[in-house]
Amino acid sequence: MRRGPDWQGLVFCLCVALAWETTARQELLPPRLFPALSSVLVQLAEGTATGALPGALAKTLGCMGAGLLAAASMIPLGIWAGRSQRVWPTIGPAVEFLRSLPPALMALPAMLLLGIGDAPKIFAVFFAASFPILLSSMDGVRAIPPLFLDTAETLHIKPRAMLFEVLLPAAAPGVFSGLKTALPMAFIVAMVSEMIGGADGIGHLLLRSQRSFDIPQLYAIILVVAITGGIFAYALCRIESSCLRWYSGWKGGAGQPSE
Amino acid sequence: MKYFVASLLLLCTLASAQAESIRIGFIPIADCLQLYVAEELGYFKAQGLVVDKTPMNGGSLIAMAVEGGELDIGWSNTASLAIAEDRGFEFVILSPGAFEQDPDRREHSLLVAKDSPIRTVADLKGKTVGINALGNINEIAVAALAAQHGLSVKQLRLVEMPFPQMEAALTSRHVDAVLALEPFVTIARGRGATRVLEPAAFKPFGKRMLIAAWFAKRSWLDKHKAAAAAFALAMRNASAYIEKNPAQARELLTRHTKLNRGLTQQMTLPLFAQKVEDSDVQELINQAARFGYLKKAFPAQRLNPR
Repeated sequence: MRRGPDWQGLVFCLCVALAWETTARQELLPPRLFPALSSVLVQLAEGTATGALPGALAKTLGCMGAGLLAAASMIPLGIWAGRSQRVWPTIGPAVEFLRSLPPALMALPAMLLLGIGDAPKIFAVFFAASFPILLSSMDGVRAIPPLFLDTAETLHIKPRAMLFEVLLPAAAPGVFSGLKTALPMAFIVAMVSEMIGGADGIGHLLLRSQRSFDIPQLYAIILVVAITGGIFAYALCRIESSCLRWYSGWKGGAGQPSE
Repeated sequence: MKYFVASLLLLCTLASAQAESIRIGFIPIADCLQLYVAEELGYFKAQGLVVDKTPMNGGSLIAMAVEGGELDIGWSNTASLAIAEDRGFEFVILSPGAFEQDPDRREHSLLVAKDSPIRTVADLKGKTVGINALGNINEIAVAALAAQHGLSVKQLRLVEMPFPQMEAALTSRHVDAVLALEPFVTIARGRGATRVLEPAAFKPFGKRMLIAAWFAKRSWLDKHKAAAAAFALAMRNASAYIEKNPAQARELLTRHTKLNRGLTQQMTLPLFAQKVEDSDVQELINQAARFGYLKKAFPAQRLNPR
């Protein structure tokens, strides 16, 4: 599949940046509440140079990583649920109920129970990321073409090989789609937790900038968050396409059951 | 045609006779007592003002709304006004709000849990301290108290939490100390779950200091001099009333805040003085600059033009 030329996207980004700069310079919005992009970029450079922004970001990403690592335990559970007839009927109703909660909401009870520090942040991230990972791992297993499983069984493949060479690779597209939902959600929840009862991290810094009228820094932090989110999305896409090389070639091709 | 002109004239007179309406942002707490008094006792009406008041959650939200033009007059702690001034915002004080005066009008205290091992402010090194908003007057007070005990504020972990949640956060050990405000100091003392670590948390700012003020944008003031003067006079009358009739003022407080009657009778009220002197603000500005919250100290007169 050929992608369109990249310069189109770049030109559009430049247009948005130019619109921002012009709107701010013409003072179409209250100027102290909406500074020009150029002054935000200066702030961004300063914050990066002093280490304040990278330090806060590292703190947030650390908690987010810990929560995601915990949530990765949902991959085996999801695979089990996808294979077994009993697991989902047992946990399904509870999972459906809990996952309807907006994940950012969990930051509050997490704080009440776990106090202030990293623990409530990590828990909130785990809570938010678990459900998409669990459900899409399960769906990933269920979506495995019966042909794969039948072939494996006919060949009397050992359980260990069945798991690592058939189930896991075949369920990987599902797992990745879950990760694609979970990653941005984890980032959001980590920052929200820092804004309510956090003592550090990028969310805390954002709140502090607003409280102390440091508006350029507030926008600089939003830019940092946007750039980080973009890098995540890009990296995940790259990892996915390298892990799933077989899948993009196979998708919709021969091997689909004809009935 | 005659009717048309007549009705047009009538409309014009109606418009001009209509009292000037001002939009005020405040926080529904004891420190905003002047506003409740001025409204209930008709001090605004006497000055020809119609007041549209909006309760809000925090001083920085009020300041943004005043800057954006959704509010004409706001209420904010003095330190935040100084920080805003330092960042190029142009807010000016229209009328003083509440004052802290040592030792009889002490509103802010540093509390710890009753069985806490913390004995002095110096023991707070590396500990978590709850304040109601980051980077406001309370954070600067913590910074100043810490400095008096040889600590930098960077050696503490500051966490934002609303005043009503502080006592529970202390007793459940989620924070090690809090900077509490009346009536929460009185409540916490009454229940006996906390201990006062430093009774006069605002002492570094001087014996008498301005905690908060009613402010507007300089550009609004320039266009609404009469309304601003009328507002200031109504507030001054309210302050005089509170100081002369504390019992009645406490009754009004019960009606306008969620505090119960027993508490409004018991709690320490701030001082409501007639006039704000530069000396009520200057030490706070100096301390804020000393601990890096301002790029540079400036004369209090810039916030408090007379």
